[in-house]
Amino acid sequence: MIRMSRVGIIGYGISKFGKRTDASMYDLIWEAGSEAIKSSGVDKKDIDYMVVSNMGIFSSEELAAVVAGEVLGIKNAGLHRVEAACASGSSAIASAYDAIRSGRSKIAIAVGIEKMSEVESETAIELIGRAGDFLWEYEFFGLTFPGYYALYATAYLNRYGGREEDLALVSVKNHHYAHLNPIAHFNNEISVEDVMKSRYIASPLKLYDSSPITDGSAAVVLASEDVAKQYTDTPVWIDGIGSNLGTANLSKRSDFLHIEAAREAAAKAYRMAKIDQDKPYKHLDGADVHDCFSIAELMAYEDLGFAERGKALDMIRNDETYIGGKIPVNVDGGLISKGHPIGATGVSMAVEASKQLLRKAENGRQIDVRNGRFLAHNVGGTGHYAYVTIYSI
Amino acid sequence: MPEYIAKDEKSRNPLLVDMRSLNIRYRIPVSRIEKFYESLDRGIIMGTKCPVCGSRFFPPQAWCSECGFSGDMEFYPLDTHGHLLTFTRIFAKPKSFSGFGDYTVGIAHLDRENINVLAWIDDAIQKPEVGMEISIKVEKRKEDNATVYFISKP
Repeated sequence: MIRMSRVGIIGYGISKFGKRTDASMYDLIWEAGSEAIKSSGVDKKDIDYMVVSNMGIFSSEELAAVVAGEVLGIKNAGLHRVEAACASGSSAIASAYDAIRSGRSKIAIAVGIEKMSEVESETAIELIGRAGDFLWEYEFFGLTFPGYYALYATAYLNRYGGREEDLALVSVKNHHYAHLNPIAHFNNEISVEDVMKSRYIASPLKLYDSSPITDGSAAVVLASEDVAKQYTDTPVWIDGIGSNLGTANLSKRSDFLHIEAAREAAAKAYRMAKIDQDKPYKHLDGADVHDCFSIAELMAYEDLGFAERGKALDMIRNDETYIGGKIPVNVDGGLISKGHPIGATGVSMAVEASKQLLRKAENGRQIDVRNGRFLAHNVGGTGHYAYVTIYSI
Repeated sequence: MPEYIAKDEKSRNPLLVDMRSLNIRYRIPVSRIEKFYESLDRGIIMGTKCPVCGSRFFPPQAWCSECGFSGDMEFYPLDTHGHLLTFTRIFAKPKSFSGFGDYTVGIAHLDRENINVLAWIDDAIQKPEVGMEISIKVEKRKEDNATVYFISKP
């Protein structure tokens, strides 16, 4: 029997997230990628595989992957771009993992990049909205991404007796932690009142229920077990990856109370990492979940098995996802306040997992590392793609 | 500075304002579901049914994703009676809908078809509620004069 090598993260880097009118796609990739390579200690000549996650439609450069190779001065690596909408970053991690696990690569780099502010907001809203089922959801009905998630929110609040104030609690928590995270898009604390007073984007979701249009990049260097140990005593291992697809057309889902693809992805990741699916949070120290909108964080609690169906409302009302609660969630600020540069988000979750597990998070937002495991939940589109990745030390 | 360099209004950072603008309009083949559009023009909404396994589809499709049948799917008029599953009112609109007023989108379940339909909710329904009875009706939309189906009063 061939012994399969584990795969570990040996270096990471992340750019400041925000409306970065000071930085081009090239500059952002340099900020994240050069830091990742430097922190790993590898010579860039030894990187033999490169994968770049980028949705790409927001910015002038069509081929972000070749830009990334040139920016970082990588010359002898295999290269491709991956797209899984908002879960593109996690799909890049999965691709690098597979390349190393198969023995095809020894040292790989995954770079996530999105430069969204090259187009004006109305156009960005249009380009994301078109990522539903174009002919049957967009062409005639002009669905937007807040709109798709608002359809979940209306159904969820109605079914489980939630209020808009409950959704606001997600944004309040995530802004609280973003204000402690120097790379976050937003650095201000907000109150439930602030959220409630913000304007409707797609009812019942308001401006502060929504992730912003963000520029940013994140990168990680990964290596096989034998190679990783030559560079660091503390690689961050990938213990499990689960991914699943969902229907293109939202109306074909069985209900609008959960994201089936995410439930399936979680089950697969837990199985691979040998984590008890009954109370998985007992085996984890924290999680980053895909809170593109406040309602998405609540559904994630349930899809990941942190709460029973309908009970995510109690979790957020009882502060159970703050540090010190049942399981800290999105203590980097989440997509809502750290920002959501689409192709970079999943890679930024790997960066956050590494920082947290290595106890390198900033004051006030460092989780208690006991089990040595951190989960990243990354959903693409309206539940079109889902990735759940489990990191460990 | 050359004429194509402009300052960002907020940050005052210099930006190169691209001189190449692009206007894309797609041409989408619909020959396999042509019957759907012919019927829509007569006010009838068609789904498709698989002659082998009986699976029903809306939006209509010319193959069966359930049993794998590839041939003549049966076009049939949907029984449009149903109830509203969820809805949202879109305030922040995309660029190509910027000329429209705010609009309400819903997903309805057609009770006798076991099929969901996503569409705008007709103005006649002033206060949509989850669970309310609805039907699907074809109308000329006043904003763009397009023939479309709406979630409407029964």
